[in-house]
Amino acid sequence: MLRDLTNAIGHWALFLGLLGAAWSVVAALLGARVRGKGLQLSAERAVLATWGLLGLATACLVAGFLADDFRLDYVYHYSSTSQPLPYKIGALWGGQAGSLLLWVLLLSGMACVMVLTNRRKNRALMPWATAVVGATITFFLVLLNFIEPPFLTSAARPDGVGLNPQLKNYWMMIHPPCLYLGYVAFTIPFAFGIAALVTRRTGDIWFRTTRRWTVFAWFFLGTGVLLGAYWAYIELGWGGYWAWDPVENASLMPWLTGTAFLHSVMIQERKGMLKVWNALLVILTFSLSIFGTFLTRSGIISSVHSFATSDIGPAFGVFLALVFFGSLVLLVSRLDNLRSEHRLESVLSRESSFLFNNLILVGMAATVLFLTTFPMLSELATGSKVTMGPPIFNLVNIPWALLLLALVGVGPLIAWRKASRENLLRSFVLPGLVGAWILLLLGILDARAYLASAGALLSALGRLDVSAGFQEFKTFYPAITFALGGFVLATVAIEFWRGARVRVSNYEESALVALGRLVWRNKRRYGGYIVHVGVVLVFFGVAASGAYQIEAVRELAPGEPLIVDDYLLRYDGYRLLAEDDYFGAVATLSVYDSATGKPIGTLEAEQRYHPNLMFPELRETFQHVKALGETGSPQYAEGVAGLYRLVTLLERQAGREVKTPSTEVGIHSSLSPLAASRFGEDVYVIPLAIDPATGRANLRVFVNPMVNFLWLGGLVFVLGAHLAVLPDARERRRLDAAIALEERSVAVA
Amino acid sequence: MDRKRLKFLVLGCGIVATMGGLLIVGMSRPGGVAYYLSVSEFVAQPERASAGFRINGKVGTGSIVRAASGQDVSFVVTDGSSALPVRYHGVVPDTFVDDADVVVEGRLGGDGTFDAHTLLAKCPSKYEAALEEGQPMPDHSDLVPGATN
Repeated sequence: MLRDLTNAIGHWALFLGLLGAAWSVVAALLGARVRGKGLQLSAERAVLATWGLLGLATACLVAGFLADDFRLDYVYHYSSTSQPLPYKIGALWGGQAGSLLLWVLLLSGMACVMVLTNRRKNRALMPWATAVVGATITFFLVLLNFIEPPFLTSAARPDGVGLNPQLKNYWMMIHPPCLYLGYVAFTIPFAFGIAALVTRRTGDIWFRTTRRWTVFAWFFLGTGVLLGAYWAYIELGWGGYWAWDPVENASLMPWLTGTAFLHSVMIQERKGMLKVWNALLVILTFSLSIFGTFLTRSGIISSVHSFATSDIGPAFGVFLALVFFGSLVLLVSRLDNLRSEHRLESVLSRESSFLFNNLILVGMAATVLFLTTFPMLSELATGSKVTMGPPIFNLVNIPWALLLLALVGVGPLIAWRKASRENLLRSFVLPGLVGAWILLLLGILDARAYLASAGALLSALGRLDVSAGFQEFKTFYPAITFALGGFVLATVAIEFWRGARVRVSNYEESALVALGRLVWRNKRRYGGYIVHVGVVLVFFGVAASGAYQIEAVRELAPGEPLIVDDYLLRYDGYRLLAEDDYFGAVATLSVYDSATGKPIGTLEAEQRYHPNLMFPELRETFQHVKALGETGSPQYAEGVAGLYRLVTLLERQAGREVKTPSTEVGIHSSLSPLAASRFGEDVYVIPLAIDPATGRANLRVFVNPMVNFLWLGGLVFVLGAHLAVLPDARERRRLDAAIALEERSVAVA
Repeated sequence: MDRKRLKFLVLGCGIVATMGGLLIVGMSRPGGVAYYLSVSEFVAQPERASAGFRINGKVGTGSIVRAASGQDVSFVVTDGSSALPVRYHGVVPDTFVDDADVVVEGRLGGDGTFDAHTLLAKCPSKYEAALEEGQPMPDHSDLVPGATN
């Protein structure tokens, strides 16, 4: 049987892959000890071979999905015959074993790129870097071979369970691979960091070589976090996008420390400072990436997002402890080699603004870590589990995020060493004025609310009630965010303007050409600025949609209107349908401007039910009604209504529910620049219930102002990060010079 | 230690200390913190009416009663040995079905029903077998026009 053969091939490819990865570690370590070129070559070839074997194993599992081979337990659980093709492939990472397989496949692919791009470079670092990456691959392959094997088979089964309906979403298909790319790619900078520590080559080569890896990892992790938020927004249907859930936090933490790392290496490049800190950051970031995978996959902290729970917890715990404490011991033993070449000279300097940005980023990561793991910690300490809700996360993190936003504006413009009066005036007077004007304007627009809050804030402070004071201070967050955001945008604009002006006068270029060349010749720097703009937009989106969200719940009959904020919604009508593996009702609404009555758009919100097809009569009736729809029969709607009745009846008989609901929210986004007051705003309609007989619909409607700034900011972030990761002639020259210097100093020593 | 280093030390410690301070303020405020218990632990808890709790268990199969509004639901959460009636008002997640793993957060009402303000649900990965084997299959072709069996 062909299917037996591919399953066997997949199984054995995984095992051979484990051997290959293990050999790459052994050979690389031996090669490093005895300086054997042949052994190191063998290790690098083992890395390539491992990738080939893992590719083969993955192909075999995908083949199982495509062939609907439900003897495979994994395919049985996450696929079904009715599942559309993209979701059959996407089901590969729908569960535990497949996710781990994808993780390790990506890692070994990156290991290949690392080996191939460093064939003639970094020969002293490579054996150690290969060993570290190889060891990580080996660990994941041990899990896949012995604890969570993907190729387990049982007796033949006619159909599979199918993917969780909530995961059947386009964004959900690309969100996990995106996050995995981010988690995985941090392994490479970490491996070079460890190699640098072991070989005592603690200059800036290790992170200059892996700069683009770091940006790559950080970019995919950031994009993955945003995609997850977007998925939650459009799919989970509670009107929000972030709930401080452990799994969300798991992806945020390494991103925060990774951001800190990206910034602090600049200080080491320029001034030879913060060496210990940089090594610590790369260790922290990689450990948090592993911890994130662990948290997502082990179910140790209960989360709605952890779609899998299993026995990989202890193994992960051991690996994590080895990575973290082993690296720390190594770091401490190398402190002599990590002496700073300069001292901080002034609080008002670029060095210290970066230092404070780092302190805040790592502090935020630490608080998130503390609060996320608090149930575990409190159980260890007192025996009772205590959980921390979202309000605490917000209370602690928002003030720091705002301070960080201010530093986004200060950091790139303030002078190195010690900022002079002229530097401060030249760089910050104009942006400061922009920020102040925004603050003033917003203050006047909403004067009454601000005055009331200010009074309450003062009286709370008078009572020394810090907690209540913070409650009142919340009112000011959006205004502060907009003012600081305006300040940052102004600093960025000034940087672009100054740079372009110099080019215009020096090279006699037109303004546009000058701007383009300016960015193209300094991709790292200007890519970074563009990322900053994206971050500001994300702050705007979060602040406005969080503070000014408006909500209404109303039951409407078809034809009835509803006024929410400055919108008038009319419930036009509904239609019943049965498609794919669900039946349900779609409500259609028209959106008008409530003042002028001008039509703005339409939206559809859908209440779906996935019938339990294990009930034979439900399956047959469902297929029958679906066929009515395909032939365009006039009895179709009546048939769907019948399905509703059948489900009710069966539920009464079986004493349990025989359907799984899934809600498709209706969203109308205002993205036309013509309606400036609504730009970026969403009308977000959740169908709570739609009666199939009368069409009466209970709707929950949100108006989310500026929420699209979040996604637009994400796009700007993507653009900037792409620029920063492109090959840059200037960066390459710097790297070559650093390598040459290092080789000379090693030769002298 | 010279003055410059002292300045940095004070600023750095200031940042760390205010972060810690904020954490303490946040954690001492009512509402954010909840004891996390299983259903049995909660039922055995002597002061269960006093504070906010977060309880995990499974939705008792067949216990779900959904109101027509679509945002009120009552059900029983159970961990096999104990059971607790729960009332919830709000957006009901799609993953909330029979036998799903749920976490409810709220406090005990006066009538012995748990008033939840938060409902988190995780989908059970499998549908169970629909009917016992050997049970005669009921005929419901009357409910759907044109259905043939």
